[in-house]
Amino acid sequence: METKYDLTVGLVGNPNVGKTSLFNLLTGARQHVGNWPGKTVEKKEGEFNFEGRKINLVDLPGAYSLSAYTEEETVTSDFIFKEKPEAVVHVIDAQNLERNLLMTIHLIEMGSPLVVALNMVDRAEAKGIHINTAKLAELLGVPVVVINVRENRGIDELLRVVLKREARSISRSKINYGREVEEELEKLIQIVSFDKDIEKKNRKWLCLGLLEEDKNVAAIFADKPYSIELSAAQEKSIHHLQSVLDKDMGAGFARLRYGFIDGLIKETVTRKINKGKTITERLDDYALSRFWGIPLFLFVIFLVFQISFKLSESASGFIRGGFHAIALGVTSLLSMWGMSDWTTSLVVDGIIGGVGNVLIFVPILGMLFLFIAILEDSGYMARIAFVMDRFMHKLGLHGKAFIPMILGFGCNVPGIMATRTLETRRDRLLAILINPFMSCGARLPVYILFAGIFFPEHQGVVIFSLYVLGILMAIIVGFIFRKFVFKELSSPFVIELPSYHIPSFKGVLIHAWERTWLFIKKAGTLILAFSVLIWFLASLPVGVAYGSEASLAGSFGRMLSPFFAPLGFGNWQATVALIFGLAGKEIIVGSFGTLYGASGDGSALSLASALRQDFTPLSSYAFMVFVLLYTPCIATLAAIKKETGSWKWTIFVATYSVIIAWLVAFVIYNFGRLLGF
Amino acid sequence: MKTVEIIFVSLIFSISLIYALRVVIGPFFLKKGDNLCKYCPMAGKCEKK
Repeated sequence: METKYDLTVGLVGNPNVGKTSLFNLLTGARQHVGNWPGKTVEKKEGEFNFEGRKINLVDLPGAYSLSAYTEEETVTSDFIFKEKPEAVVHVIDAQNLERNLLMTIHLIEMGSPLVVALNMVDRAEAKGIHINTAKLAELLGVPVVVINVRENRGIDELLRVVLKREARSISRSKINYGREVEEELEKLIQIVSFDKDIEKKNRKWLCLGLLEEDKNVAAIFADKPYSIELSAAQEKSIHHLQSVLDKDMGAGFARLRYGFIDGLIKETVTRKINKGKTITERLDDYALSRFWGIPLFLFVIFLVFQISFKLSESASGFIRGGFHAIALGVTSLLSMWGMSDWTTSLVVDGIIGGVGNVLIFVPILGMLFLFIAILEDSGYMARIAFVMDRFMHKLGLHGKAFIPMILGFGCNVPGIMATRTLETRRDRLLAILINPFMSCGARLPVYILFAGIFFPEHQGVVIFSLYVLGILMAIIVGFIFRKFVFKELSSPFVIELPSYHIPSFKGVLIHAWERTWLFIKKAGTLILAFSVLIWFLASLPVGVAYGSEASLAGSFGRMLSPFFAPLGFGNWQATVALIFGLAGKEIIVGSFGTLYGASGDGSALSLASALRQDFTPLSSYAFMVFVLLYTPCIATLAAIKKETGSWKWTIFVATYSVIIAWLVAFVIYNFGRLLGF
Repeated sequence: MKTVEIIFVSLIFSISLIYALRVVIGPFFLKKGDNLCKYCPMAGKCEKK
């Protein structure tokens, strides 16, 4: 344990209970608040001072229990068991007490120094749910503090309770599992009790884990000298309990714990029947409607694009002008210093042209991220997942796969990582295969660039159509795979729907800034590096005109451009941009900036007119469709390789996506020409 | 070209090449205990530690 802090406190809870918001409030850390299950996937630390004490706060992944079924559960229980924090704060959503208390029971059984923070009591009261907190604290044997994270109320009291050493004593509350289970438990405890390394307070929990066939608990005893004896006793006990309890021990124990929780609820909760519908229920009548749900979602996304474009136009123009001025200033400065044309071109065309043309999109991306953060934090994004889940079920697809797909809108890498929540390898593979079709944030600058030049009046509609096309392709391809490759799919999934709420201003800003900053960072690293490399390819061999067909980039592009000619963009610059775009899709914009930089006045301004010479509105749309669907970036392929553990599937994704992209772009371009576009 | 220019251009080229190769090749050959975030240009936080 860290010694530089006075206290280490673990923050645990189900997803969507306000745990991460509390973490942000206390530490000011940049942590995203999401609304779908399992969004908090990593252990996050932050520090703050309270009443002269330095507290290290650890935000643990959102989990529903501490069984070892998911990685979130494993991370949380490992932290509490192995790192032994001085206190564990369990944030509970008062509206869903039953479900939340399952974890409380686990934490009590683990012997955690526990404090329960009851959040969203106001919303529970609005629903007619009244909780007797004093009684709840008494029955659980741990302090229960009412907090309101959104309004920053009750937080100081919570911290004072956490700081009190006596409040952090272990609960004496015990769940009685009935004679049969208790007898079997006792047999295992007796074997373990001779081991001085196992603390007394952990014995019952560990033995319960053995009966529940928890792999993590089994690993703790694997190397013990008495492991053979313990294993034999465990097997015998499980065999016995399976005949009297449940064949699935996990389910059997969950039922017993819920029995205890039911009793607890009856003692502590009173419900008034509300005649009217809550605001959430009224909004959900539309948001989750079978008829309105999907059109409303499409309309909201469309509105987000339109508003973002309108609001960011002037800021983008300002940055464009700024880079133009910088390019002119640097050109004259370098010539004043007597630098050669080569060096000047590297700095102006390569670096400023490449990076500048990407940074122009920062205002619009920032605006989009802001609106997306509002949608996520308000609870609406979870509704979109719900509506799409239902839609996908109708197509015979696994609805749970839509959550990684929504994550894929930000970046495909976390989308692919999120497929870990799917139970079977087949489900995971299917979700991984379709995830790259979800249009990630990196593709957005390409759309904005082309839509801005070729469809200035209808930017929002064009970009929106690409997002919808991505979703449709994912569904169609998923359906085909489901029909012909992955025929057996597993059980349905219940998507959690948190109540709507007004997002916190600070949370939304932090979230939007965090994503925007990552984009800026990428422009300063990956895009910069590739812009420089593309500049070299466009300048070599020595003596050729920069950005000419005779350059290495030109020769390379011309060699492959016939492949793209039937799609309407057979120019070599587009080919080079697409090839380098494999490293990161924003590089496509940087590549155009670098390659066309020389054809105008050496600034970012020349890009639009240069692109107009090589593209028509129709071919630009086909190009955007190709960018949407073709081989995902290197990072995504690496994630696929890691998650599937197979080169075969990685190469398959890289190949089949480029074939689909080519076919769809071909159909759009040639069909469009037939229609006279 | 002046010597200083040659050094400047070579340095920029070398750094860019090394960085690009690291980002492109590195993620496919992770060592035990490494995760993808190590090579992510976004300093990603999406993979569990």
